[in-house]
Amino acid sequence: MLISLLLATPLVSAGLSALVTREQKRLLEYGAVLSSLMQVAFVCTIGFQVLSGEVVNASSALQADALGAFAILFISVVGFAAAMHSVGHLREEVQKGTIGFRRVRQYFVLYHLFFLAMYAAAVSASPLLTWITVEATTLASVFLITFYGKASALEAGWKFLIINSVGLLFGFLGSLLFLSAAAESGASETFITWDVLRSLATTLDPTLIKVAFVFVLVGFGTKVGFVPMHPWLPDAHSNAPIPISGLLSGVLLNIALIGILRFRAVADLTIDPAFSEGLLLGFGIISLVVATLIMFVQRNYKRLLAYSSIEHMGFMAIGFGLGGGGALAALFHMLYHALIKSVLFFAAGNFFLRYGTTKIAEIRGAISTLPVSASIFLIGLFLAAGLPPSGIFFTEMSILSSALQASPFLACTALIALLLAFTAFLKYGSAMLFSEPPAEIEKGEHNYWTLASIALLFFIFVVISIHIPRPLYELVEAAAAIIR
Amino acid sequence: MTLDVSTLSLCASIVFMLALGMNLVRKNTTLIGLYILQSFTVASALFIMGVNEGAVGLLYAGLLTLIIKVGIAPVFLGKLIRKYSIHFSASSYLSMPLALSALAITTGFSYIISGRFVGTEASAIPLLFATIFCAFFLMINRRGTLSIVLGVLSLENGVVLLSSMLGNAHTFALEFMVAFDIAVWILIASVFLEMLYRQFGVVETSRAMSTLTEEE
Repeated sequence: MLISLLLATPLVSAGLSALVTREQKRLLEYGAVLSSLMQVAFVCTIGFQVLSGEVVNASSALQADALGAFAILFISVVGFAAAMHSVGHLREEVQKGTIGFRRVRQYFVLYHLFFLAMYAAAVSASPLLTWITVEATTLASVFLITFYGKASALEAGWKFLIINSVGLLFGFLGSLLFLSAAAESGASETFITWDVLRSLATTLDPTLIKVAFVFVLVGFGTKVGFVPMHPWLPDAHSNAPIPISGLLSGVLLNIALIGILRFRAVADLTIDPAFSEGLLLGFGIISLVVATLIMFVQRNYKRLLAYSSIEHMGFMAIGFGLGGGGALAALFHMLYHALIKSVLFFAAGNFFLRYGTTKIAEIRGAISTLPVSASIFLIGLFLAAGLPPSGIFFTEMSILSSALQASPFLACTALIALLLAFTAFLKYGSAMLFSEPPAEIEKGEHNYWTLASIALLFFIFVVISIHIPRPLYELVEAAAAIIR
Repeated sequence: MTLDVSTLSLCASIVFMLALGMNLVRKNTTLIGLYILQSFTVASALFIMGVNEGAVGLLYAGLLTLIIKVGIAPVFLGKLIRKYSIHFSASSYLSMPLALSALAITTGFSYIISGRFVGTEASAIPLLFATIFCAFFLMINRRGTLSIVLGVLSLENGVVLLSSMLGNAHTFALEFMVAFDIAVWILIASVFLEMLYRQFGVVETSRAMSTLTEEE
């Protein structure tokens, strides 16, 4: 029932948003915030039910286990903040005449559908349904990327659509090969769930599973943004409206990564876990190193943040690849990254609204023009780079110590890459914040919607960095047990 | 009806030959024609397997393939060709001899990776892997956006037929959702082609799309 309500909320919101007229435009905004708040409430209830050992499902196709509950938790929390940020951000864009009512309505309809697809992907009980819903996230978000209708946005949307679709078709093939292996092993059900697949794992054909896992990793890895399948990511993230950039970076990438982890949990029961470990470590370290190096030559702060997301995804892949304590730390890293990356994108969105540019060279003296956003942006950069007391510091240390035991070379390479990423953040962050601002730029901040969204996520990040509430820890621990 | 190796192999061979043909033709209407034939072959194969195995899921899949890929998709894409007079697809990155060599290599590779498959479908499976790689090659070798869209759809044809031959029978709900996803994809891709043409005046990726590099 709760899952049905969770999925129905964005669906109904999308339908109602499509019916809103120009005179009722505030309904779009308040509807989005209210809908997101309801989703947070449903998700928290689901989380507690999962922790108490109850099976939370809508049908055999949709079921929230600990991993699914964990995923919908950060989707809903970031989603609530993104809804608030969208209100403030779009109001200013309308005031400036950049967009009109129709675009705002289109935005909110797609926004709700995007959430519907993400929730469905997180609670899909079957590999094939996971593929369908992850593909649906692409279809729901592509017109959000082309939202401004600029040539570059169109190009970014096209790349996003084609690269992700092809990647996901390979993921589809991988999923089908997993199902085929299950059918060969005597699965009698036509609807094969993750549970069925896991129960048959030891009897599956190892060679077929190896081939299938490679296809899954490449396919879903395209959506995660692993190098070398990443070219769509910085373009899409830098062209989408800021709240969507935050969601793409902070939330969507994780959904695809969770898909890989679910397949991996099956594959590791069939074949030597060293196979998937090697692949994840390989993709992880390459993504980490390449993204870090590219961060140094960025001229656009949204692209800088996008490459930082690739870097973090690579680091998480290393954690998941190592397994054990590394996997637990990587799950926490996922949560921290979702929060802090959204904070950074939202704060950067305030720079964009004030300066009208995404070029690093044209943002000067932000600390005096936008004191709150700029301060949080600066602290956020440090926290995202893993400076204590950031939770990311602890997850990075935990993953690095696991990596050190597995391969000192890997650990050293990862550590150097993290230090370089920090240096890149410091270099560009200081340039944007501390120089003399252009005379024509107005000082002060009056957009309380955008400030509230940034403050909320920042506050949650700081609180759970210092103290992780017991239920949250138990949920993450239970989620880690599923993917180990 | 008897389903033997030759029936499945014949279907897989036709699908593969059509994927190869799509790499060779330059005229967009011919490209769509080959895609229709390929989709029709896939639908027929699904029907044959469905009837032979008594698998209702495969019959649904065949029906949906027929409606969406043989019916709806070509109509959408054909309208675009007429509307914008894009009768010829754009040039390719590799010359024809090089493209043929690449296709020969990918076909050989397909036989290597599918060597472990045994059973009645054993001869069909390498051909379907080859179809997938041929479709992928079409996408990366052509500059024309219409070819890229048809490459994705052809790749999807290969994946669907391959999965069915590997024994995946799904519920109607799942088949419907997969088909719905693909239908929405076709719709969005068609809208994108229109938007790209309106924005850039051409539907060739190399000429149209350099904006991002300039704006970085």
